[in-house]
Amino acid sequence: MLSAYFIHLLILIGIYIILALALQLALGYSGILNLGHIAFYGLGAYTSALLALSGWPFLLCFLAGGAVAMGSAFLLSLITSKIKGDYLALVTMGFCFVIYSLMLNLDELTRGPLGLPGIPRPTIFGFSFSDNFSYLILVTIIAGLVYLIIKRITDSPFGKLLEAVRDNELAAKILGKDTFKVKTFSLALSAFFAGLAGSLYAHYITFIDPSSFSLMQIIPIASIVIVGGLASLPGTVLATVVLTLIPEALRFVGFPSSILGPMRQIIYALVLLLILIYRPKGFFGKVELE
Amino acid sequence: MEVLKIENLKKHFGGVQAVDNCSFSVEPGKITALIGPNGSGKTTVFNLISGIIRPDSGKIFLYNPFLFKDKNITHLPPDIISNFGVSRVFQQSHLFANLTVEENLLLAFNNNDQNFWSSVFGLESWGQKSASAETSTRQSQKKIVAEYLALFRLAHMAEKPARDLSFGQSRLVEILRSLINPHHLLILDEPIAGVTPELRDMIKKLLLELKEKGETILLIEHDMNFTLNVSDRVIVMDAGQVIAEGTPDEIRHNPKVLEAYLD
Ligand SMILES: Nc1ncnc2c1ncn2[C@@H]1O[C@H](COP(=O)(O)OP(=O)(O)O)[C@@H](O)[C@H]1O
Ligand SMILES: [Mg+2]
Repeated sequence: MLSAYFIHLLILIGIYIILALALQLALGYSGILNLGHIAFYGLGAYTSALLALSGWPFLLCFLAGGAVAMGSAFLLSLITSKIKGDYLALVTMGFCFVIYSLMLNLDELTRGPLGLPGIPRPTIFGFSFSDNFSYLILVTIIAGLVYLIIKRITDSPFGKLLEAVRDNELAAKILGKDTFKVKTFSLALSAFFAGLAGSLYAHYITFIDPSSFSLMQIIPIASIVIVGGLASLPGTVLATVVLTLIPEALRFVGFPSSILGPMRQIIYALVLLLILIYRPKGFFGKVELE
Repeated sequence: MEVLKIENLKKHFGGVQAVDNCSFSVEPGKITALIGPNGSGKTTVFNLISGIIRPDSGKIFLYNPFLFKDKNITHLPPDIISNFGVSRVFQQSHLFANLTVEENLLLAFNNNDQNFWSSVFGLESWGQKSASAETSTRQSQKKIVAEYLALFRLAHMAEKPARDLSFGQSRLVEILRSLINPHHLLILDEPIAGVTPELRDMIKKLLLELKEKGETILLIEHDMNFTLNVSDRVIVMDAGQVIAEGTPDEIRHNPKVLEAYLD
């Protein structure tokens, strides 16, 4: 019983790691204050689920989930090209709200608040990931790949350019860099990986509804990024594990599940506060924003 | 033929006429100094040249024999102007604080880092260059950076984040970054303000060496003595206007200049 439950937690951790690493790319490395990250996650989940329900094979649904999220990121970037900092945060929140409203109100497509049941578990080259243990292996492999790709990106000259734009966009322009193009690309990549995470979530739970993709869902993910440390990949992994497991531990101390939800929010807020006071750069972070 | 020509430039901020019908030009291979009291509009002229702000009226022309004969750059964005050959040092520090000193300098060589696929996965479009060529240019860039840093006694800081540099060290790194950035014209906004006398001498020597090599430099400097010692031509601004122009000797004895500085 415990081990089935533990496998379930590990799968969620794997999905969250992908989602948080994706946010690291935009927020931690590129300094794009994107609070609409969950919209990309949701777009990936819905795209992948709808295609799977209409009979597409998993791998295509999975990649399409990433691609649709990526495409919407290009659009968002064009719309917000003249907006910076705090205002960008507001507009990206607005974007998340728009996507959420579409999920709720495009009844014909999304079945609105009823959600989409019966999303099939993945089958890849004839191998079915219908039991949770095999799904854990799938998630682990994909999370590992995403980690390696994002590490490769951030270690490359392109990654250094992202950090340069984050630290001082004007200085990057004065060196001749097309910072709009660079930020757009970063946001699109971030959205792609968030979309993949959404797809993995949809095909795991096999049911999605808009409530999983509301604006508030950004809080745990943003907490993970800050607690792990901006622009720190190992920090992100560690923070995901810690922040997912701490609230779960309460369950074993005997807290009823009715107050676990609110408790989780309180714990995130507490951990965030403690980190900001005692380790403002997070677990492993080196980056300090001005 | 001049490298930069500015014609009747005007810019106001609210009620302040920061630049008021300003015209001057910069000749190749020389150090031209732009001087004037605080608030006389020098930095604003630099912001107009580099495209960070746009003028209310007036024109800016750039001459770069490798790219074009004469180009109206008045309404172009900063990255394009930079790629046309204008390299700038800001009055305030503009280093990438969380990147190492070496990374700060490596960013200046070219814009290949903007190409995602070749930069991340070493794929050249249509196989023009192999990935190994890319790596070897990276190695040679690192070598150049190491040489510069050693020359200015900064080798021990190469791996440190730029935020750890002292004020003088960060001025130096910023000057080095503007030198590495491919350019035809260097514009430096008060590069020696607030640095120690030794560093000031080091930068003076560097500027004169650069001139020997044929560089064209436009320099804002508040310190009259330094400026008159190092420059070939001097342009004096006051209240947004050019009030005098000439050799350091002419400027030294110009009563209008003395008056502006005594105000
Ligand atoms: N972005 C700005 N907004 C408002 N006023 C400005 C701005 N930039 C410069 N100014 C004003 O324009 C005038 C010229 O400033 P500046 O070009 O920085 O002078 P200098 O570099 O010669 O000391 C000053 O009065 C300054 O306050
Ligand atoms: Mg100034």
